[in-house]
Amino acid sequence: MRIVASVFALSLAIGAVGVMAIPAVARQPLRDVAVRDGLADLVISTTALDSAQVAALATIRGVALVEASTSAVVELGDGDVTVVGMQLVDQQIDRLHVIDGRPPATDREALASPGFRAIGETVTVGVTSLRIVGHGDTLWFGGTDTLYTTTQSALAISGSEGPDRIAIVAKVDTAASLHSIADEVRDVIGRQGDTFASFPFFLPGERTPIEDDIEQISTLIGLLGMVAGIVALVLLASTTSTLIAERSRETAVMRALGSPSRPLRRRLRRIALGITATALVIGLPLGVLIANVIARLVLDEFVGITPKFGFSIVVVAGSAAGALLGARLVSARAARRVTKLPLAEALRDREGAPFGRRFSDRLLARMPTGGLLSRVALRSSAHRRTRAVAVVAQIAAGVGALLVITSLTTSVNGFNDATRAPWRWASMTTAGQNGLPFDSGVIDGTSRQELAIRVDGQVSDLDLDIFGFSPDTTMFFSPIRDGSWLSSSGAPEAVLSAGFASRSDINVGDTIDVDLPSGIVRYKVVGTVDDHGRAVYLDVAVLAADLGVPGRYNMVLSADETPTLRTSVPVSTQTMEQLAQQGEDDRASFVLIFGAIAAIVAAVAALAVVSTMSVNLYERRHEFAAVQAIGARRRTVRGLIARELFPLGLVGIGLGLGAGYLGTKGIIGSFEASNSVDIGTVFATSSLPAIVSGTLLGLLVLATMAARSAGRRPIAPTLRGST
Amino acid sequence: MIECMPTPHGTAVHTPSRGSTYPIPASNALVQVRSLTRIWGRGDSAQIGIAEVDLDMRRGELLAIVGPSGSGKSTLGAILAGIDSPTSGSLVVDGCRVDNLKRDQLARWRGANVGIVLQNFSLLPTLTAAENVELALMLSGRRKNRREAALSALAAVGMVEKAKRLPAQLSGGEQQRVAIARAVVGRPALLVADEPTGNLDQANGHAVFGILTGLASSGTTVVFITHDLQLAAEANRIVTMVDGRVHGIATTAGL
Repeated sequence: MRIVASVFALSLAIGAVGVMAIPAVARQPLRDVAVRDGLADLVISTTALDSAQVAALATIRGVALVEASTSAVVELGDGDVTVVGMQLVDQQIDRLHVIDGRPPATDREALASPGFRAIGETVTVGVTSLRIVGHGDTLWFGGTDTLYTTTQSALAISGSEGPDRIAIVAKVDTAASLHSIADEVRDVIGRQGDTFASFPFFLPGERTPIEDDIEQISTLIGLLGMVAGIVALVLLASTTSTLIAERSRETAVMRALGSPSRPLRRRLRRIALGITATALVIGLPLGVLIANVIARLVLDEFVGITPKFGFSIVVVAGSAAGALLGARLVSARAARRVTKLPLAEALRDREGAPFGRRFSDRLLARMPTGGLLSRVALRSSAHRRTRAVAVVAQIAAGVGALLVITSLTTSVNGFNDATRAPWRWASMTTAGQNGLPFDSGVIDGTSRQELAIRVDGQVSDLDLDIFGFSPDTTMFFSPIRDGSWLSSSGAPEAVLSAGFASRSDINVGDTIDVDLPSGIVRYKVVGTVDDHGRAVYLDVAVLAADLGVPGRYNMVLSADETPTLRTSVPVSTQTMEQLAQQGEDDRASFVLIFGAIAAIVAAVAALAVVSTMSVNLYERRHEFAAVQAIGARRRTVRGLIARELFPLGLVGIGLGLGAGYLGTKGIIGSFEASNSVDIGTVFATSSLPAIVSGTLLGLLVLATMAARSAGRRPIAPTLRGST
Repeated sequence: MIECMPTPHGTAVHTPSRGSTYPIPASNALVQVRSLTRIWGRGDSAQIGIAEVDLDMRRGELLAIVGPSGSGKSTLGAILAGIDSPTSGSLVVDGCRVDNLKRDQLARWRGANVGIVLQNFSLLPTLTAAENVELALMLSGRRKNRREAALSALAAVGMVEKAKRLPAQLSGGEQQRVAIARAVVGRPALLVADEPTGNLDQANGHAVFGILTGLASSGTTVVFITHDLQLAAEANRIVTMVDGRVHGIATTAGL
């Protein structure tokens, strides 16, 4: 039973290491779908283009294939929907993958993304009614509610004069080649006064749209996988050395009968390797299953695709090699120790070197340390210090993992709240078509509405939000950390997110080159703000001019939740409440995914403690039988075990909280450094009572179960040594 | 609360907690064994430890149980000491029906009424000699002056100077003396010793046995299990076990 428990715990630990395969498992289906759909290498949103411009793009050096489409985000009663107009029949890039039904055949039909509306249903968008004839999706638009229809329908809905999205497949898909193509595209359409509406999206090599997000998740998952790996190694070492130590007497008998030590050591190693191999047979498939379940959760949530079963050969081989190598090393050491024991001592002693042989044992025996049972507990822990250290390490790993996960969740919450804090609007209305389609006539001219701009950009190859506000805006306020806010001088000034500025070593007074959709523009940094984002704030008038469309905007910020706007352009309005709800939904997904991983690591740690304690109980079975023989009841035995377990638990909890603190700071710090953004670490202090009390309660349950197990063992045969 | 007590007239009764109402007649016996049987396993794999053992023991008696290996003597000793339970039959010790007690009740009864000495000493390795003896007092329910009582018990077996030594620092004979001190510190009415000299040299063995006979002289009923017929001859009576059954009971004059 004990060996079964050890094998099971080891299997679960090996399985938990399988979480390291999640990024690889998630990446492959994405790439498969990218090939299936014909994902573009370069996607550019533009102002409306005509057919001549689109034809001219195909002649650009390096372009293998180019297709233009239309997309617009429109409100649809209970939320927003993206309307995409494409060729449908001859589409070669971003091909529609039809799941059921059929592609639309007329301007009055549409294919809906999975789960969005039923076949046969009619959706009215503006003045256009579209009948749903099937379900399907493409990787680019996956994860959002989308309607795929004809180009004509989409143009009518968006109000655009022509296609405004270019998808390019390059002959050579390196980053340099794609950047070169983007520059030429800009020149071609710029000849007729058209511009990029947002920063181009580069997908060199086999990259897919959410690779960056997967990489960030990968870092965190990798760290948790390492925690699981450490717990697994500790458990492996503990189980292996105990299995061999249990055979000390048997080995001594063989030696006494004349067996050389080498074959005995080989036999002991094989036992340990056999146990490990058994655990691998269970643990490796378990790890593959865990990785696939979590990868499926991630891809379903963020991209809307259901991946096929996959596994990472690197993780599987690495886990197997690590476990077998670890078992080989530990068992070799333990076997050498067992076969080097003095023969007479090994034959006589059932429980290894008795307490009292070491000076530290004798010193401890002289120290007044509480009642009799407490002395037994403390001295037993000191005597079996390796076991005690293993229990402490296992508890620390479990507690640390729980604290890391809960603190990451609270930190993400805090970050989400902090990013919303500077916004003073009740609603934000964005244009549903590309470019800057709003003019000053859109708003009512009162202080309750403001026109603004938001586009993508880059500074030093780092993606940023570029915002254009009026210098005296009332819709955005963030404390100034350094310098000042924008002036009304009309000069090319910029205010940066403080976290981004400090990590990029940009100070007030420096000039920066901002890569806008329209090209690179230089600004002078006049201040930094504590907005927890990664943004550049510019004078809206200056930004509009630098984007090539002076006096135009793409965002309305309002103090009203349902602002009245004078525009025929499709719009999408989001209230602050909806934004907060979105943050809640994102947090729920995050909690689900990482909570699952944390639960696995904590379960592994718990099982590891159970396994180690059951080995401990077995080794001390004579001692417990002797105590019961002289009158100890079950509760006394439980008290004895609890007195040993609780101090170890408290030390483990302390170390785990410390490790969790450092781990959280380390992880958040690495995210902040790699993303040049202030996330801020918010420790889940409210979860501490639950973590601590849960751990202590678990230890109490363990002590009770252990006492019951010790009580079930028959006293007389145990004392005689026949069990 | 242990559900057993002697009646005012000295007639031992038992509470029928397991449904049995077998009456025990009044006697001078400390221990009364009736049809005691212990079987392990079931069906074809059943093994008989002891079968239909009947035995009485007087107060202050020194009783030896002898027999070949596998004869059931250790099994009988374990049941008498309360560290094993019979499959059937009854065991009454000082008016208390022991075989009916539940596990925790039995533990309490052991702590208060029985001293156990085993071949392999079974001292707790992490407690000193004095602490091992003190532990027995603690488990018997004694709260006060445990330390003094423990030292007194160790003095009685000649081990008071080594009270602070750990078992690993003591020889076999010394450990067995400590085990005897632990067994008798609570002044139990019954002491069961299973091969108490089995792991000792002759000198130590005689010394330890001398302590046991001294205890019997002072009123403790001592049951010792042994292979050594010379030691057995020192007892008041010898019970011979063969194949789980009592083969014969003889006074030492009858050997």
